Amino acid sequence: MNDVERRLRDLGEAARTELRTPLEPRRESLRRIRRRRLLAATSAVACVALVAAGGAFAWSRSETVRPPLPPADVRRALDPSACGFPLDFEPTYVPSGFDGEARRGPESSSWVVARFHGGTGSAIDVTTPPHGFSQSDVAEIEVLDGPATIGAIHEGYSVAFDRARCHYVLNGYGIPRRELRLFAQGLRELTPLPFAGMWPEDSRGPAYDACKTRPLDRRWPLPVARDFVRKVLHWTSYELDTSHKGNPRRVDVNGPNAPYEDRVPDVQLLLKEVLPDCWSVTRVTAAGDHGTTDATVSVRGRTVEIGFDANGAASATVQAGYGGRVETATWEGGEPVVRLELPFDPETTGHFLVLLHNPNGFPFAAIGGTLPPGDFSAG
Amino acid sequence: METAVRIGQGGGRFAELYAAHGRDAVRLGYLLTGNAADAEDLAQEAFVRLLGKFADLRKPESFRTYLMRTVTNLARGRARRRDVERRHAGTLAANAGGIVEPPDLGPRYELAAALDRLPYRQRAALVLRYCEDLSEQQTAEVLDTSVKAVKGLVARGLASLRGQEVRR
Repeated sequence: MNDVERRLRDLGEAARTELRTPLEPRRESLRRIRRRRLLAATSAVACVALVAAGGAFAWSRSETVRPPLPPADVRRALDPSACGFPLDFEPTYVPSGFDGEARRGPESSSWVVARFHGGTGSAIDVTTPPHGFSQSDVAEIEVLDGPATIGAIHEGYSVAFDRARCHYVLNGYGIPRRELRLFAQGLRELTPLPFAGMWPEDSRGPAYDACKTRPLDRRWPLPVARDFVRKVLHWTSYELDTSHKGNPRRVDVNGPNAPYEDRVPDVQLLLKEVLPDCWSVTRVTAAGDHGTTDATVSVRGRTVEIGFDANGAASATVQAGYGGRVETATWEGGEPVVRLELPFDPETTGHFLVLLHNPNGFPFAAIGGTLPPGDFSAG
Repeated sequence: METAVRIGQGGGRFAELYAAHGRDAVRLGYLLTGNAADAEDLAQEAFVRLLGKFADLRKPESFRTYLMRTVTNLARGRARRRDVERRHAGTLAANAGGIVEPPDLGPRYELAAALDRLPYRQRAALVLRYCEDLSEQQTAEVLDTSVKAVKGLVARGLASLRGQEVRR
C-alpha cells in the first residue's frame, strides 16, 4: 500500500473515532415516515376501487362525444408528469405568515410537488398522491371551478380535487381548517400552461408553427426519438426500446459501442405530447456503466450556469436556449460547470443540453431538459 | 440469523436502524461533502427515503448497501449545488475545497481538502474503497457501476491526489 492509500485509510479511521454524530433520528424524520405509511396503508382500498370502476374506456378528441371521466386514480396514472412543478394555479389568499410563493417540493418525496411555507411548523403541501387516502369530517367545497372535499387527516387538514388529468391533495399543517379552506377556494388558474418541450422546439410558438399541419413525424414519439438520436447525438447505429407506454413516453436508446473504456453508452429520452398530435423530447438523461446522471442549472438574469456529471468525458458541448435562440460553450476539463452569458433575456420557455464527448470527439451521452422563463434554479 | 425488520412496528425500528447504521451514514456523508452539518442532513434524508420504500427488510446487510448508495447519491447532488452556488456568489470557499469544519479531522484536513477537489465520482470511489474499506465489488454496488469502472475511478483519483501532493 502506498503513502496516499495509507493516508486515506487513516482518514477513514479518524472519521470513525473523532467525528461526533448524534445517535438518535430527528423527530421530523419520524413524522415524515409516519406520513408515508399513512398514504401507503390506503393503497389496498384504492386498488379495489380501481378494479370496480372498470379497466376499459376510450378517449375521443371529438368535441361532440365526451366519454365519462374515469376515476381520479386512473386519470392520475395516465399523465403523472403533467401534474408536477411549476403549478398551473396560484393562491389569491394565504394564511397569516405565509409568503404565497410556491416552492418545489422536497426531493425526498416524489408526490409533494410544491410547498407553501408559513411560520415554524406551518406549511401547505400541494401533493399528487398515487393512491387514495382517508379524510374525516368531510365537507364539499369548490376549488378552481370544480368540486372538492375538505376534511381532517392525521396531522392537519386536506383538500382534495381534480384538475385536468391531475388529482391534487392540499395538505395543511399547523393551520386551522378555515384557513386551508380559504386558501383552496382562493386558488386561480395560471394561463397559459407552461410549454413542456425541449427539442425540436423549446417554446410554444415555434412548436405550434411546426405542428399546425400535423406532420407525420411528430404525431408519435418514436419518430421524434429517432430524429433526436440522429440529428443531436449523430448516432447512425442504435436501438430504441419503446416497451414503455404512456404519455409522457420513455424511450431507452442503446447507442453504438464507443472506443472509450469499453463502455456502452446509452441515454434515456422522455417524450411528451406537448400540443395535440405534436410530440417532443422533454428530457434526456445519460445512463450506462456509470449510472444515471443529471445536471444542475441556475439562471440569473442573462447568466446561465450548468453543472453536470462529466462521467469520464474528455470534453462536452453545453448549450442553453430560449425560443430558438441558442448559446453554446465547450468544456474541456476541470470543474464540470459552464457559464453562458445570453445576449437576450430569457422571456420564453427554453432548454439546456449537455453532450459528453470521448477523446475522439464522439458524443457518448447527453443530459438535457426544459427551462422556464426567467430566473430558475434546480438540480 | 436473518431478522425481518418491520417498519410497521413504528418509530422504534427506525430508531434501532439509525442506532445501528446512522453513524456510518453520517461519516460517509462527511467524507463525501466535507461538512458535518450537511452529512447529518444527508443521513437523515437517506433513512427517510429508504424506510419509506422498504416495509420489510429480511437482509439487514442489504439495507447498509442501499443506505450507502442513497447517501452517495444525495451527496453528489449536494456537491453539485454547492459548486453552482459558490460560483454564483462569485467567491471561493474560504478554505480549499470548501470544507468548513476541519477541526473534526485535525491534521488530516489537507488530505480531506484534496479529496474535495477531485471530481465527485473519483472522490466517492476513493472514500468507499479506502476510508470505508469496501471491496471493489462492494464499491461498484454502491456506485451502481462496474468493477472495471471502479478501478478506473480509483486509479485516476489516486493519480490526482499524488499529483496534488507533488505540486504542493
